Amino acid sequence: MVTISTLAALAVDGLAFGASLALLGVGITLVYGLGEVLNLAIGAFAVIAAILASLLIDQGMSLPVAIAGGLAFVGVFGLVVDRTLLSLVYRSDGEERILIGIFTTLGLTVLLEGVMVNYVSSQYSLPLGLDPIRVGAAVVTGTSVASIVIAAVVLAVLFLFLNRTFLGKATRTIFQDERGARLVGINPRKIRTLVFVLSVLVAGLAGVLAAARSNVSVATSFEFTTFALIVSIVGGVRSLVGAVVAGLLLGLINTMANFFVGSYFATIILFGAAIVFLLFRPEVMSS
Amino acid sequence: MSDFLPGGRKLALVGLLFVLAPLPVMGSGYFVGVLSRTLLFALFAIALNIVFGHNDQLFLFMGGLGGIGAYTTALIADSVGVSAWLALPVAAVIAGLIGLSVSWISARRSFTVILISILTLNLQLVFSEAFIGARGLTGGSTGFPYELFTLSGIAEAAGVPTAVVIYYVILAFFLAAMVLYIWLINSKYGIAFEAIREDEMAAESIGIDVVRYKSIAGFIAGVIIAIAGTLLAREATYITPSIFTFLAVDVIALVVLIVGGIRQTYGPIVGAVIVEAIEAILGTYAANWRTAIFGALLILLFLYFRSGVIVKAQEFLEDRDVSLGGGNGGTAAVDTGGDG
Amino acid sequence: MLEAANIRKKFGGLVAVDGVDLEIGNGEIVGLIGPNGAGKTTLFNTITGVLEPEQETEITFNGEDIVALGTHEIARAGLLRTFQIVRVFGEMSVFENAVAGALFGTEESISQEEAEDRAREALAFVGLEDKADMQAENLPIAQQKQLELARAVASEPDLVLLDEIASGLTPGEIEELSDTIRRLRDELGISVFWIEHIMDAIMGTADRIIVLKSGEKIAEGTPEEIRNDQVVTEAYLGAEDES
Repeated sequence: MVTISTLAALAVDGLAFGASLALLGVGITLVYGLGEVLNLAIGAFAVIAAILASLLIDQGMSLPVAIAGGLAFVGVFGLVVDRTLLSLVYRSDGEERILIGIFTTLGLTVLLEGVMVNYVSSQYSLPLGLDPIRVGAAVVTGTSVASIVIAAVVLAVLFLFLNRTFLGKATRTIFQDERGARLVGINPRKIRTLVFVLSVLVAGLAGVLAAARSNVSVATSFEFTTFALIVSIVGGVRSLVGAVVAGLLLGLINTMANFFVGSYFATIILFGAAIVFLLFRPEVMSS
Repeated sequence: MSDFLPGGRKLALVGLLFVLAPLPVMGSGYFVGVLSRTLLFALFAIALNIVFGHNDQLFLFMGGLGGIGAYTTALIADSVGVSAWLALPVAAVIAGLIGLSVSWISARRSFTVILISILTLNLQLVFSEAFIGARGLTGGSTGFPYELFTLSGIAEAAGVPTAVVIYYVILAFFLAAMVLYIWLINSKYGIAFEAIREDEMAAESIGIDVVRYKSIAGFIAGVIIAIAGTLLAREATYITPSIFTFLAVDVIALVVLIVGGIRQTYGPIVGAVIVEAIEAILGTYAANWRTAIFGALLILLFLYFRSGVIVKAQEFLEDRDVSLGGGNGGTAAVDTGGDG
Repeated sequence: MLEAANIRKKFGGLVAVDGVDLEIGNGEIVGLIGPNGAGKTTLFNTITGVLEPEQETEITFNGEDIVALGTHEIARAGLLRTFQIVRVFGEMSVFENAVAGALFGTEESISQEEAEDRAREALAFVGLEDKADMQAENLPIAQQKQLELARAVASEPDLVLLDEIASGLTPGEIEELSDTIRRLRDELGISVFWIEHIMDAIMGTADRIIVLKSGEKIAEGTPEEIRNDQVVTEAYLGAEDES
């Protein structure tokens, strides 16, 4: 029989995995909502941040500095991608833009994977070195708790930014009505740049948190991308709150399924959930 | 001949070229393998051309469908004890029905191209996961030897390596697919496909059953992909899930189709020749950079080169007053990049 | 030919078409007019199966209930339409557009040769036979509209619904088009149900006019009767500012 304490530990681990998923989903949602570009390279950004941070630690840097370094690099790289590749994508619009967006970000993820494999081909991790926490009879890993807390803080800051600051309000205006935003003097292109950089930072953090809990490798990047897609499908590609809820939920389900029926079925359940949602609520991707 | 098959003579010429192609390199297993892979990816691209090029349904589970074809063929042949020649059509029809279901649902629910691509990408991942996970049936990630179709007997009788016989089998399927494609595009189906691609609502309004035609395209693509997948495993003489991943099949088939030119009759084969040539050169000089270069190609091609080699070459020649027989196979006019 | 009772279509809380009854007889040219937003195009979309009407709607065509049919089935039954914003297949040739119309618009399937014959006749009927090899999107708008009509005619329909086919045309072109529409009825025996904003065109051609306002039928009669109808005049004057 499975004890309550095991279930509690599983739930915390599930939420911790869910926190990474939520961040990835938010990364997809931010960019798709603003410019209808589905960022199929988001997993690569997550993996780059994690691997770079891990390498910086090997160079003797402290954990926080290394993580900051990894994220900063991903932010700058995101800026470069936005100003170059995405500028080309935004030249077109409608269905055409969506299609070009799919192909360029798909190409980018293949390109990044192909480049990285030549330099960083092993497994990387970022142990936080936290002690397990005892809650009643249950023992949960400190890393999982820290992951949940960090993701929660970052998401809260992000929501505060979107809800309280002028830039955030401008962003939300474009979310709702691009032409209207232009009329009141907001430049959508600049906001898109800002939001793209934000989204890859959030994804980078997801990668860092994932690496804190288990190994990450170049091959993980496509897996991250597909997880992010599943989260946006289940949560609704334009809903940030939906992405967070869907991320947590899928993290929980996946971790439980992993424990009870094995990882192979757990993954199939995850993809199965996405397919079922697509079939029965396709409007999540189009509205 | 040419009445039934417009441009039949040109296809015969291409066929002859590929019939003769292995002769200078008969001793080299490597080159025969390159030729086989060229035709196989041309097959994948023909399927993609029908379903994506002519029907705007972006199938991103070609690897998965190919794997379904290969594994199902082996399983049927093994468990029922029949020849793989009988098992292959059954497997192809199964993959065809999967393609048909995806197209039918997508068309019924008016899925946009982005929805179909995400749906099929998810299916691809499910299939990949299943190939690895269903160890009892697939041998898991280590796979099993794949030497179906009893070709070694023929090879011995003819006094050539088995790989050469496999090449000619693949060539036969390639030519059959080309005949099917040319016939299809010049028939009623071609007109319906073109009408649907341009304007679904207008197509419906003149009596075209959009759901039916898209489903047919999905079925045909599924069948061709399953055959290509099975032969891909046979060519490798060993089957593993890694042959049928998204990166190994879908990305390459997309690059092949775009290089050659979407909706060009000879786009798939021209694209496949170029891509396999690049592969061969990379394999010799920069094997580690293969994936990176295909990623870069996908971006650059889609941004700047969407009309493909054939159209670019025609434009180049027309500028110099040299006329080239139309490579464009039917009613579909050449689209150089939508209305963006 | 076309008989409909209580056509209703709601969008959320908004009633776009509100209980319209109508009947179009054999060989009739019926006009449908009304101010912007009256629900004219919605009515067409409901009849042709593009939009799903409310439960109580009854529509029969040649005696067959067509409410539950798909757009393509309705087209095959002989009820074709044109669009407010012209929708020819721009990348196809003019001839291929007409062939597509002939090939798919009938219940029984016809051969390619038969379809090509019908396409040639249809193009000749609207006067586009010299343009057959042109790419459709390179035609001027007026001729694209003729092509759209030819594409419908090629399927040898019983009834065509024309949605503002005269808008954007010069007076000379309108004259020609009105003549084509009359010949549609007189020479080919095709009935016409025609939405139009350009009053001269429709008043001079239609046998009967139906007036729609806010989704309801407010008047019906000969062009003469409609012209002198107080209710219609008011409806138009009241809506003048919106349009």
